[in-house]
Amino acid sequence: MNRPNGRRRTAATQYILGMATEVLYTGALLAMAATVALAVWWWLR
Amino acid sequence: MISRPKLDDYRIVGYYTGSVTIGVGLLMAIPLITSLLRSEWSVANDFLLSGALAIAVGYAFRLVCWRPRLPGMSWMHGLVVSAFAWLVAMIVGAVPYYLSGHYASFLDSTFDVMSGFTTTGLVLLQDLDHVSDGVNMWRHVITYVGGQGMVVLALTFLFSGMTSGLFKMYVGEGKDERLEPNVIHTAKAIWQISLIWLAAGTLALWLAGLAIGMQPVRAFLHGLWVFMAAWSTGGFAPQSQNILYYHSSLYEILTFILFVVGSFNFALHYAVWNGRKREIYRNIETSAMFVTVSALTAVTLIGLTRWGVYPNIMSLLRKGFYLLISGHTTTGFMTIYSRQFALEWGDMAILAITVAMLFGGSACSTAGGFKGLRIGIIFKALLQDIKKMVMPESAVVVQRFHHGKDVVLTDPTVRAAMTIVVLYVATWVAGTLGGVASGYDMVSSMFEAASVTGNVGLSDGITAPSMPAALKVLYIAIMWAGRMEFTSVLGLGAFAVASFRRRR
Repeated sequence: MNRPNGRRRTAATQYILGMATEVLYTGALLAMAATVALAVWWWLR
Repeated sequence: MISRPKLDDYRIVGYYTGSVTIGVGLLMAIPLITSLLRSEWSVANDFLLSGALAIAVGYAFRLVCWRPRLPGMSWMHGLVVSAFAWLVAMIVGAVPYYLSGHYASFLDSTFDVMSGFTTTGLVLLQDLDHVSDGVNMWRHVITYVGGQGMVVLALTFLFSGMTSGLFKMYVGEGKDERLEPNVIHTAKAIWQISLIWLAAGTLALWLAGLAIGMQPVRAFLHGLWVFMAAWSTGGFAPQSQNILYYHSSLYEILTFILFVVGSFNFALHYAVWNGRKREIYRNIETSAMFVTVSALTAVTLIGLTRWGVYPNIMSLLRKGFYLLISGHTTTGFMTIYSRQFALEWGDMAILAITVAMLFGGSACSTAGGFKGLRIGIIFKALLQDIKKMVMPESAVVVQRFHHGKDVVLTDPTVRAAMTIVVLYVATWVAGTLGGVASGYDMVSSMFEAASVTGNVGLSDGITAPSMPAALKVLYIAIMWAGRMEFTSVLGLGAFAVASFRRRR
């Protein structure tokens, strides 16, 4: 994968970025759940 | 009509099954080395004997079935080999379990092996807290290898000379995407992703273990095992209390990340790791998962709040959300006791988790269930039908979805998705019926059947050594069929029926 400046990223960088993207998705799920939990708690309590 | 198999057909099935069996035998070297390092001499002896037996059985299959010119492998062979090899692997893999003395019967041992290979995670093992490190290593290696696909593992890495029908067996094991044009490269890419995550995940869990005061070696082994169970969405853990044992929010967050990521499609991992990061939110599977998780989170949390199960919002999230996602990704890690589901949770939350378990993770992943891809496709088909209804008759409605690339929705795609979903639901009903017929109540039976059908591993207490043998056999069959996504099992069934057909 080429960067805008034309230099190639190493495989290790690619993997770390890939893993970080995947972890971010789980963070989004967690944030969504926290929002739902807050809404439910506020609504029912 | 399927024609009656010829002798060469049996030889092909036997030959490749033998190769997979040898692979299972060689895999026992890992627990063997573990038990030697941990000075568990009698356990090492069990693995030595069992490994030798598996290799001998494998070679016997290969010797009997080998011919200088075996014909090429057809689709039917690929499916039959996958299904049959899993059965043989279950039997040889159960030998060290049985020798360990932790099982009431050989049937219980085979149940646990099938539960491991299919990444289910239900357990019939007794006194788990005093199991040797060797046996614990075997439990988790089984679930790790089962998640990535053991037929492909054995044939790619051990017998790379015979690759003619590999893709057919790869599909037979419930994986149907080529990450690279060559199936061997695809299998290697899958293993590369899994092994890199293994290193990172084990390191993180090891550090978390040290942080909660575990001994370094023990923390490492627990980290490795829990990683294997999380990544392969298996759900085994080295202690009977499962993840509850650690009483650590850090451990729970790490396992949460690992099992969510583990439930991703390998094609998605491959895309994201090759610079196409936008795939993670464009893909139909991650979008479908986000929607189903949001809806089911709301239902679960409303149910738990109405019933007043947890006193504050943090424990609601830590228990309710964690267990919902554990079920949705078909992992089965538990942070409560089994009977708490039945006695404390209330029907609304139980129903949400049951549905989540049936939905499952992504296609071509280690997860079970209908899979996000099929849910997305069926939703898009529904959308297309609604559009057709409201638009003028002459309008052509083209529906697309994004899965690696933009794909136009076609009727055969919808039909294939529908068929698998119908088969899953029918199997779930059969599992529920089995539970009810054995005397368990309906809600518990539905919950446990969903757990077995989706290869999840959450339990509300039905799965126990004391359950009826017939129910154990039914659950084994369902775990096997669910993991294979039915096709291979139906293929093996058709092959067996055709074998008894009279020759014309």
